[in-house]
Amino acid sequence: MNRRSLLRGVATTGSVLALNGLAPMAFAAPVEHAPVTIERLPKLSGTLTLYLGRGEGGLYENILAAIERRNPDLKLKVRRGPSTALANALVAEARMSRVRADVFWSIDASSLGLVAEQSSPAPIPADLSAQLSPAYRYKRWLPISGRIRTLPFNTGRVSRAQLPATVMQLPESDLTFGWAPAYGAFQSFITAMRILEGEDATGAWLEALASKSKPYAGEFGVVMGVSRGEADLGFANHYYTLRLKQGNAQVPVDLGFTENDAGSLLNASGAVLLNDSDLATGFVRHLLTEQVQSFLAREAFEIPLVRGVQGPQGLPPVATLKPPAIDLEALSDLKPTLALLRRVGVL
Amino acid sequence: MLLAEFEEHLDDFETEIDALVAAAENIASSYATNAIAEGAVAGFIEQWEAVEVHVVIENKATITYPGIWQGIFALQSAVDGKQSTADVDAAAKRLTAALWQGLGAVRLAASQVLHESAASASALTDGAQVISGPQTVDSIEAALQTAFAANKAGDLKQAETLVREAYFDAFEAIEGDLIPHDPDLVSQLEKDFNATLPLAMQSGDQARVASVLATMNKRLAAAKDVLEEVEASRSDVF
Repeated sequence: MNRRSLLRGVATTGSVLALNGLAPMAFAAPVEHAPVTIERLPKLSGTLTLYLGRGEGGLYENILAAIERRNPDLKLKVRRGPSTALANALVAEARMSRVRADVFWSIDASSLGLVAEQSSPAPIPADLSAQLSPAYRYKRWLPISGRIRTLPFNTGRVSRAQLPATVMQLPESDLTFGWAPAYGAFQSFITAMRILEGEDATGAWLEALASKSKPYAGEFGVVMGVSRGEADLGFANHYYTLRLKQGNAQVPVDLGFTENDAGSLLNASGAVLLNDSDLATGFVRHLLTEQVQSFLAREAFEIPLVRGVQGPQGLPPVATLKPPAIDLEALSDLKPTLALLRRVGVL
Repeated sequence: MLLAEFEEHLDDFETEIDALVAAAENIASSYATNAIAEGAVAGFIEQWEAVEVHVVIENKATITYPGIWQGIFALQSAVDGKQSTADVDAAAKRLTAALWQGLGAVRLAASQVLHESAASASALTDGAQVISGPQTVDSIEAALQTAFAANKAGDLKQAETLVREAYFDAFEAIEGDLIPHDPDLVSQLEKDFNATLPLAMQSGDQARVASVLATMNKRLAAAKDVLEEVEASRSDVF
């Protein structure tokens, strides 16, 4: 059994955290905690090389600009690109013992996990981990914010009480569905289902839902379709529904959540410290401040993972969400998912 | 099967090479004690032909592939020819060295794959590059125009890549700001990027592509107006 299949196996048992600290587990109970504010951090000085995986809009750049303004003696050198491309670059650099970056800040956990596994990252300082919700205290990378899979439902056609606790129960319902099988986030959701429930069960689930599902080109289209009553319930990341309701609170759509399964998968952005310098650590401290966390929640509807920071408007308290324990790095293994979607005729 | 993603299985290949090396060393040591099993080298060949690293060395580290077969035949010749223990031991050592060279060449090829994959990232630049929503729309329009030209020149793959990158790298960066203000516009553009435009391009009907792009450009112009208002009200980080 290779490392990947080993991880996949233990992920299904929920014990992956003990193995390598890569996967989230259910949120712990809320704890009173005051997040660190920017005013408490010392100023940064020196040259820092950052590899920046594509972020929430251009908002990561706004954060960098704000950090530069606050720290005039900081000289930032930034390499940008798709998160997977930058992760591959870092892995190649690590193999040649010539890692050029001080910090890797990326939008998705699979690229962070890859770099954490195949380079030699500095351990995450305990005081940084302590700022995070307990389920997100990893040893080799630092989660910063998250996004969660949801079941947006039409409140005029479905009551919350009709929603099942797990996605695997959906085929037994009389509901109609909206989905976007060609969309990357949906494919990650199906990948998680494959890992958690197995290939056969996932194939059966897809086949059972196919005749009751309307396809859309993207997941915002799914949410819009549900809001128009074209489907009772859909599959999409949380922020589309919240954004829609931000513009019109009367839209008849709300967020549904499942428990401990692929339907509530939470993916995280985060950072890998590629050395233990004060500058690299100090930079990452800025990303965990109340101000940066609140900015991401306010402007990008990302879920702050630092304790004591309020989540985006319209999302239930983070402590009430129940994402599954899963190796997020394994979500990058899309080929079997695409093959399955094609085999059952969904793609 | 493995060739498309061989760089993800290096640990598996090392395990297989370890087993082959152990088998070769076992042939030499059992020969030295007159305990070698009949057909031991033939068994080794079966093992070598069954492992997954075989096809990877053959295709990704081709230059080292003949050396492994030469090593196997030299060992077989030494055993069958009842040569001295030292000769058999030397043949086994040459074979194990060839196996390690094969694995090393596979690792090098994997490293090159990673480099090629990483080439899509930018060079190092100084400081933050805050790009406004309206500027992002400008970049989308330019990318779509380039995609149109590529499609007209018959390069469908390049055209589809440009559209996909414009969607993921640029449109997804602005859709969040647009949704509260004009959700229908976002929904229409999402469909344009992911279905209407790619299908038009695949049809080869350039008039149809031009018509889709004209509609998209009108929608993008509307998006730009919205984004100019959003930028003016963007909150500060600190």
